[in-house]
Amino acid sequence: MKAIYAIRHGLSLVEVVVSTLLVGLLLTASLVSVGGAARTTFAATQTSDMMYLAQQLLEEISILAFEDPNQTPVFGMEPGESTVPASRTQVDDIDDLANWSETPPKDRTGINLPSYIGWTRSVKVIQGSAQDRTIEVTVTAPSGRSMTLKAFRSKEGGSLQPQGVNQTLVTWIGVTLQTGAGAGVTSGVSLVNHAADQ
Amino acid sequence: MRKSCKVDIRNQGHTLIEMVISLTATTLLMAGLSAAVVVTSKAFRPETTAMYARTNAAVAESDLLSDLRLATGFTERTSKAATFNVPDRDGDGKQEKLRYAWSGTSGAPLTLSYNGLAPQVITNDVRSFALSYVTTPLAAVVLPAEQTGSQILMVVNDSANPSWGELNRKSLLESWNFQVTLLGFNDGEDVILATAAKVKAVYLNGEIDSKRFKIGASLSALSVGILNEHPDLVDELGFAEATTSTASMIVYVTDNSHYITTGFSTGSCLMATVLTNAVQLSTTPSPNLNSLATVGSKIALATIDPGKLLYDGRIAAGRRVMIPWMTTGSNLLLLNNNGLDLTRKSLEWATGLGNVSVELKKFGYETVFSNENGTSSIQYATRAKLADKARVRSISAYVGGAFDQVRFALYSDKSGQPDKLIVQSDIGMTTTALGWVALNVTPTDLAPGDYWLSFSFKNAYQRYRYNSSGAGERNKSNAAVSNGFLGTWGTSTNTYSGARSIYATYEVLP
Repeated sequence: MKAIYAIRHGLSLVEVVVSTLLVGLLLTASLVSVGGAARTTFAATQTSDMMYLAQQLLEEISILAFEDPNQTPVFGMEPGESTVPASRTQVDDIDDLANWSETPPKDRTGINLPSYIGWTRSVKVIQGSAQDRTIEVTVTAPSGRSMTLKAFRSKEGGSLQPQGVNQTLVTWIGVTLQTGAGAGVTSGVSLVNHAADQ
Repeated sequence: MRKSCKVDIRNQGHTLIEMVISLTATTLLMAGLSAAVVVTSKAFRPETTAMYARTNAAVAESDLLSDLRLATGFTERTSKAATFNVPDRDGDGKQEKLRYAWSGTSGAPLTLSYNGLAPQVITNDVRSFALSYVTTPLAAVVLPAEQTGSQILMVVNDSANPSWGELNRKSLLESWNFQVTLLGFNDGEDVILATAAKVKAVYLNGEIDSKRFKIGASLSALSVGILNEHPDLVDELGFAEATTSTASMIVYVTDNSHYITTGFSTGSCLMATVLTNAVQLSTTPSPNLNSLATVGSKIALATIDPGKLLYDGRIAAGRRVMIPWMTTGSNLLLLNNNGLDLTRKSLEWATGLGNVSVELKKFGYETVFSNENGTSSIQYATRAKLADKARVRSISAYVGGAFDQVRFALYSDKSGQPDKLIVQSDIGMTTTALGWVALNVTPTDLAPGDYWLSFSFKNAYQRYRYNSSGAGERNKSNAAVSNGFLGTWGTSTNTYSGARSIYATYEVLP
């Protein structure tokens, strides 16, 4: 009796290579997609953070006096004022912050803002005519991305309109809000009306 | 014959080991792919991600900041809550009261209460929320001596809840150094009248509900100054019987000798940045109304001096001013610097600044004659008699025919002929249509007597009106528009016995 051996074929090398490539491509594409989405979300969040941080400081600076109310004004720190104030509560006019920079960003009183380790916030005040200033606030993220917001300020700001009665106006409000497991969002706004306690 | 053996290789199976290996590999691949899908879905499931929470906080904070920016006043300011007013949002003319608050308990929501209604959730699961404030003390400016103590009573509908427009007016007045007291119907008529008697002026704003305002006549009897912007109160205050209104950005200043219009040129004056509703005193105005500016040829900005007749025969007990803008729903921010300046000076005058109106009279020919003539480079003079000791302020002539330059002058009289130039105007313009053109001259004092009123054209097609009989006409060749009038008239080129339509306006001097 003659034995019959079935001729058994395995997968050829080409088949293995092709299938491996296909699977690899599939995996790579899916991972690239996931990574891209994550990067986009992260970038959007970072952009939002930069904008809020810049807006907070820009609005805060906008309400300062145009020039020093206590002594003969000069551009920059006036004589006797600290060139490196511990906090922004010690500055009394816009151009005192002409070359301000802080890492990480701090609130007005000099306390570090949470969740912004490695971030930098800087200010540039450009002297226009005797009646106007340009304020630039630049926020730089740890990744190196940055955003600059600009504002123009005239000598007679809205809150500086003279009036016949003594009044204490609320000129700026800072807000920090944290929900869920997310990082806190910090920003601020200057008020356009003469708003006082009633 | 050897029997062949055929094997069908299509039906070959896999060994158990092959199956196990392939299934294991497939399982691993599927697990890997599933993990990627799970990770992805977790990453983008909003409720569970830190990024979503952060974005949620950012959206809520953006809304809060937008509201805070427009705050007009605060009744509560803490690190966890703020209650403040914002300008009217629902068209009822009243401010809205907003309250943002967080209880301070981690996980509790941030809520917003609108006009005292039940709080609505703005965002859930708040872990921390902090408000901080910067306040700026604003010292009252040192008032000019004449304005010290210029207390104003502004009558509003509800002093406990003034509208956005009323608060805007108050802020504006305070920015001009006035000290403003708000009183409304909620305070009672007696309180309003008692307070009105003590202040320097009463400001009747255009948002008052005129049907509820029953004290117009009583107010009118007070000697305090009154500034009115309400069209429905003009009769009670005695300005006129009724008003009309029209949309306009421009007033036409007719008298710039008054304190209120000092510094303005006569003629068109842009007073707002957009079309605004201007009130016109249309029916039976007071015979003693001093028209300072018109809108659409009807009196708009006007005053009445103390002791003068009101429209209905009553006597004005104090200074009265009618301003044509800032009626119901008007926005102060729409007024430009001219409008704001006229408003401020109107209120200043009502408080007693500046003189009352001087008595203005005219001499010359106010009649529009029917005959027409004229050419360029001639000094045309008409003789006129002045009966009073006077300060001449302007000269008016009925001229036109071409859009070109014209100039007026006044000469003395010597033996019935024009003699010395007394004063001349700046250059003015005529249009193709004939009409009265008034040009100011430097105020010049004159004694009673005969004078010669003169004009001259630049263009040969410009015309004047004349009558063949009158006190006398003289012509003299000279391009007076370009070169100025001759210092001495000299010998006239032509002599006539008629008169031209020209007169001078003057203030009577004691």
